[in-house]
Amino acid sequence: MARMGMVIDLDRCIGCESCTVACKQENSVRLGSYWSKVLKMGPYGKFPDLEFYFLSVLCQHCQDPQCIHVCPTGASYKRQDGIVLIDKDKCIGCQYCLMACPYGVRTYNEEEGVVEKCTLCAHLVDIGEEPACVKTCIGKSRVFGDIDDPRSEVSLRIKAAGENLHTFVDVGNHPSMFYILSPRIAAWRSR
Amino acid sequence: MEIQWPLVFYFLLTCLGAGAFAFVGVTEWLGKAERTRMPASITALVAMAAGGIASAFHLGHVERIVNVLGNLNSGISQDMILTALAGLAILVYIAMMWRGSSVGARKTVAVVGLVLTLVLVIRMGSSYVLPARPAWNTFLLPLLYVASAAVLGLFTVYVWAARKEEKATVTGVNKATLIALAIQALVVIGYVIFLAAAPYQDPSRSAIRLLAGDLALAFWLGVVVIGLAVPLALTMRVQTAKEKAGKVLSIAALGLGCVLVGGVVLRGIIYILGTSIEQFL
Repeated sequence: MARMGMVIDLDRCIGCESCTVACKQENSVRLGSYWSKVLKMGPYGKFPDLEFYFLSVLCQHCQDPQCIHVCPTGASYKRQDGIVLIDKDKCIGCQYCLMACPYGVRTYNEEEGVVEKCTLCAHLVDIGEEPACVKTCIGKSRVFGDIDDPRSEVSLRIKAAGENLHTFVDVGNHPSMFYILSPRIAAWRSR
Repeated sequence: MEIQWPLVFYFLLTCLGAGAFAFVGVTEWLGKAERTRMPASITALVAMAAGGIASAFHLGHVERIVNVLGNLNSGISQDMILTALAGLAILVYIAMMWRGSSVGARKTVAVVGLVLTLVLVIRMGSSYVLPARPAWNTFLLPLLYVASAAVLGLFTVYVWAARKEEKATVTGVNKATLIALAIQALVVIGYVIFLAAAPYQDPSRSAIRLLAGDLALAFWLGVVVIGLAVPLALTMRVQTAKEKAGKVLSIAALGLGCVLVGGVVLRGIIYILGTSIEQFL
C-alpha cells in the first residue's frame, strides 16, 4: 500500500516562502490563514557561533493520526495512499481534531465553520502531478512520493540522509514528513 | 489554547447535573432524602439540557449534529450518547417519582442513572486526555472532572435539602460536601505537581505560569480561594455546628455560587494551559 509523504531538505531551503504562496494560490486559502508556512528557527548560539535554519511546516499526514481517531463525524479521514483529508461537508466544526494535533497545523475556518489543512494537493496528485509547494520550490528542496516504495526518489533521499534525517516529535502518530538538516547548517531543534 | 466558553459551560453544567443525580441515585438506593430527590433530579435534568444547548454554540455546523454518530470511537460521540442516555434515565426517574412508581422500579432506574452519570463524567474528562496537549495528558484530568461534579452536584443538592428543611439530609450532605471539597483540593494539588513534572515542558503550560505567572490571580483567587477555601470554610462552620440552622440555606447558596465560579475559572485555566507540543501555524 502506498504511503505518500515528503522529504524536505532544509540544507537547500532558502526561506523564500514560494511554497507558502503556491499553497495559498492553489487552494484559495483565505487571508490570515496558512496550510503551509516557513518558520525561521533561530538564530541560536552566541556570536560569532550563530546558526539558524528555515523550517517548512505543514500537515504531517501521519501514519496513525489522532485527528482521525477523535473526529466524531468521520470528516477527517485517511486515504489508502496515506493522505489525510477533511470532508468539509461532514465537518461540524467541533475543533476536536485541532486539539488532537501535536503540531497545530490545522486551522479553523470561521467563515465556513469547518476545519481545514494541507491536503498534499490531493486533487493534483490524483492527476499525476505533484503538490503545488513541491512544484514551485526554487531550491528543489522538496521531494514528494511513496515512502513505502524503496525505489522512489523520496525513499532514496531518506535513506541517503542517514543521521541528518529528522522528524517532528512523534507521540505515536508517526509523521510522514521527513526533514534533512545537516550540522554544517544548524542543529535540529525539536522537543 | 483559547478558552472555548460554550464548552466551559457544557462541562460545568453537565458535571453539575451528573453530580446532583448521582446523589439522587445513592439516596434512592438508601431510601433517604425523599423530599430532596425530586427537585434535585429536575435540576439535574435542566442543567444537563442547558449544558447540551451550550455545547451547540461551539459548533460551526450545528445542523449537522447527527453526523456525530459517524465515528462512535470518538470521545465527542460517546459524550453525546452518554449525555442523552443519562438525561433519559433522569427523565424516566422523574416520571416515576411523579407517578408514585414502586420503590424497586425507582431504585433500578436511579442506579442506572447513577452509573450513566458517573461514566459520563469520566468520559468527558477523558476526552481531553490527548498526547498532543501535555498539560491534559494525565488521568488526573478525568479525576478533576469527577471531583468537580461531586462538589457542584452536592452543593446543588445542599440548596434543595436546606429549602426542604430535611435536617438529616442537610447534615449528611454537608459532610459529603466537605469530603468532596477536600478530595478536589488534593486532586488540584496533584495536577499542579503533574504540570511541574510533565514531559515537553513549555512556559505556556508550566506550573510556574499557574502559580506565579499571568494565571496566578485566576488560580489563587478563582480556584483556590473562591472555589475551594470559602466553600470549605462554610461547610466546616456547619459541620462544627457553629452555624445556626436558619442560615444553612444561605450557606448552601453561597457555597454553590462559589463552586460555580471556581468551576468556570478552573475550566478556563485548563484550556489556557492546553497548548500543543508544537504550535506551528
